[in-house]
Amino acid sequence: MAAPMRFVAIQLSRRVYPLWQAVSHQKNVTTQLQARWNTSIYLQQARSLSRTSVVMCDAEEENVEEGASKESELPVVTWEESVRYLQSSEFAERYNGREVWWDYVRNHKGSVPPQKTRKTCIRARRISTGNPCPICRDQNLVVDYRNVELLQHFICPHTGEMHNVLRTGVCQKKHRLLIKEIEKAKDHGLLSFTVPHKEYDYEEYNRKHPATATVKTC
Amino acid sequence: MAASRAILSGCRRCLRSWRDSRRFCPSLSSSGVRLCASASGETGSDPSKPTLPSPPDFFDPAVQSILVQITGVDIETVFHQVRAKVDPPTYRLMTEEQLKKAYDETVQRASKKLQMPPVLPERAPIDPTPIAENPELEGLETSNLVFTDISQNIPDRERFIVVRELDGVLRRATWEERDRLLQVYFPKEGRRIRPPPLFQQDHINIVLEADRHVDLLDLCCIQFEPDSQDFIRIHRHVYEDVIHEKKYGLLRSTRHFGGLAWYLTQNSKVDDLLVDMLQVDLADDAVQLVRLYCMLHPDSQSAAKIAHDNLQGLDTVKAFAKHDAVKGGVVELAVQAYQAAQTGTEQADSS
Repeated sequence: MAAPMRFVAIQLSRRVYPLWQAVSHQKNVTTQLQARWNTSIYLQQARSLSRTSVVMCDAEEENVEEGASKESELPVVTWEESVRYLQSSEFAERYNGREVWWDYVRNHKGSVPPQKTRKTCIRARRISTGNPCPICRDQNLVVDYRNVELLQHFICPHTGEMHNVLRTGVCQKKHRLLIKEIEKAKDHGLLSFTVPHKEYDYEEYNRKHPATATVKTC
Repeated sequence: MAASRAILSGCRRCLRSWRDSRRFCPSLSSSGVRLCASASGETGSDPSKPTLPSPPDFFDPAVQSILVQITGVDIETVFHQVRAKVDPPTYRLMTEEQLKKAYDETVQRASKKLQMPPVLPERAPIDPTPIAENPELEGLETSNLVFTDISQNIPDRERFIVVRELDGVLRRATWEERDRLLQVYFPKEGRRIRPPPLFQQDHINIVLEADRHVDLLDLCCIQFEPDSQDFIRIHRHVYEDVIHEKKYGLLRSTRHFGGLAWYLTQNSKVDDLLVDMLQVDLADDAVQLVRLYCMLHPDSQSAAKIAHDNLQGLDTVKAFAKHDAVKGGVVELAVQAYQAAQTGTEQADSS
């Protein structure tokens, strides 16, 4: 009786203790953010609109009025519209020049957040959660390799690496999409990154070998 | 010295592996494989004709010393802050001698980082003659099969990679197939199996507009071999853009400046670079560049005049501007402006 209980206690303490330091910092940050969130107007907006997204630009409202069944489905926004949105005044007003994930707070039980964010916020083209992640809550943010400004929000300016998903709070589906699109942007030359250094051995290019025998030129 | 070293090492390796290859593929005759071709400059030379001194190679020590001098070592540029995970800086209390020693070590590390990528002629295609022909294998497969020797510790250019085609012919793999398969089995850091779209013409222009010439050339060095067609094409494109937009400052104090200077001198496009150097008060570099031009074009008028009159310093640049420069007027003006600025500062210092 005592032995299995002790075993369980040891296993629990081994898993919980390493998270403790991360958690205490997270707790401080979370309480501050929660305080800010509870007083913000965006929470009120989110509560009043049942299943549609928080921000809608004028062009989309016209589409929504047609067809009652399609009312709560998310409209399709192209990457060019998203690029224009990121330059617009509404974006600047909404996000105050900070990253799009800066004011997002995850809702979870207890002080330790789950070490994985939710699988997806959008099911069957509708938002299926009350607190969608920073990308899903704003329909005008389209993750595309050509939308470089949005991708930069998710890359650390000092190390050039992608931010941890626990920091940004995006759902897993969007996180995987971000990874893919950032890689694609680097491959197309749209995102800069630090290139490793190549060392040359000049002798390698003097030697000849039958494995790479070239066409005999007379 | 370097040439003889190459022949000796090539011969030793060649003979042994030539014997192996004969065992490997008995149909290959001795004349089919060209063993360790003699050093560049000697192939196809007729012993009866008197040989003129050929222009020096990129790897010639005199040329290399000029290129190294022109490149310069700007510590701030070479060790600029990179966007990568780095440790926080450490601080040390040092004496004057220790500081000097640390500075010299830094210059040593910088010169390692400034190693120039080799400038080589485009590689000739690999010998396509069949190693074996087995018509009985025809129709058994739906695609080519590639066989790679994956033994450890064999240099890339000595590794056997052969292709069995659909009609039963066994041949050596082409350069492109070799590069792809070597990356599959022995991946190099940063290299992709298939070149990313960044190296296509339209995407190159996007990168160059963002002034990322150095990044593009570094990626090119990682992805392609120095004698491959893509490497040469991309370098040429970047150099032409640098000439067109006059962005010489971007490449100065990087490993690519030597290649740029070599390309400009070979194709006689050095005028704008001379002007740029004089405007940035690098008169010694301008003189060295003209010296390099005379080494590569020994039959030019300015080379003859400089040798005849034994000109020194900026007089060589003036002679070059007079005889061989395309934009001679611009170069002369730049020299005069530089000299005026020099005398102006001297007067200010003396007064």
